Amino acid sequence: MSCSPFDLRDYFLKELSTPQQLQVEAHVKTCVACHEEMERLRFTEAALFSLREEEIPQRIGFVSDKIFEPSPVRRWFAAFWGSTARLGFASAVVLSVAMSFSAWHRHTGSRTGSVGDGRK
Amino acid sequence: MIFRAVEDADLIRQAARGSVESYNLLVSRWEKRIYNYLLRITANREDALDLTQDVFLKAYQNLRKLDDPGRFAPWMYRIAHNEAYSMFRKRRPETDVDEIEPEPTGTKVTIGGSSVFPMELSLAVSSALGRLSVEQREAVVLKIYQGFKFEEMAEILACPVSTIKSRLYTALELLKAELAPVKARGLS
Repeated sequence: MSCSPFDLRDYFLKELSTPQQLQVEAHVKTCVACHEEMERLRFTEAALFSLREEEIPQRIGFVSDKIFEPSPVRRWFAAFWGSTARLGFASAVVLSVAMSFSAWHRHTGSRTGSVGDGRK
Repeated sequence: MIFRAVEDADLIRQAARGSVESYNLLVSRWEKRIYNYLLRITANREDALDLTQDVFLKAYQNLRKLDDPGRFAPWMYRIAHNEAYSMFRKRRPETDVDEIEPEPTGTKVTIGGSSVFPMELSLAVSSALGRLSVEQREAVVLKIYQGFKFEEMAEILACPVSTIKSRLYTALELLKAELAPVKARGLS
């Protein structure tokens, strides 16, 4: 049983906070049993890392295939929205809003003007 | 930190909208990690490659279900875990873990203050990992090799953190015991 303030395995597995790590490190410097246990854990880790990662023998790649593609509606919408049509559509919306506002403003302005003329 | 011109999250969003090119780029970034994870839990290169392909296909088909692109890594490993266990269930009894043989080298290396032959060490590690249960081995692979936190591992393996800890602690004790003779021989 370890006498370390925190589990040495949690230290080894990097699950302790920095203050907890420092406490363990300070303890391991003064405790022979925990120092030896830490050495065993470090050897185990180093040994595990002697097993290198391998390169994948065959690269994985996907080609565009109807089976895996989104539905025609989604594709049409994605194509429409990703194209210059998006800019055109957005411009048309802005323009139509501006024109509607202008027409409304002119209409209310002329009505106010005619009421004023009537009073005279 | 490695700078990437296009972040994974952007690629995930583009791939979810149907961009195969974005998905291929995402695959190229993750295939080695997923392959090695599967290789270490299946201990069979052919199975690992087949499963890796299945994992990426399944991930592509379900990419729109991934709400948070920041959770891509645990989500991918969860799919890989499910695929591997699905294969294990189809193939009982479990196949032995002795197929992977490390590359031979003749020069001694110093590890943890002990001078050992890399071949001897790699064989000892392969053998020690092979003695673990699939669950213990997977916990070691996810923690030591892939660097996941306990909470992420619990998400990937769909079990409580206490179970993850228990598997890891037991695996560590077994690995220490299995590898102690190599350390002792290196010291003598």
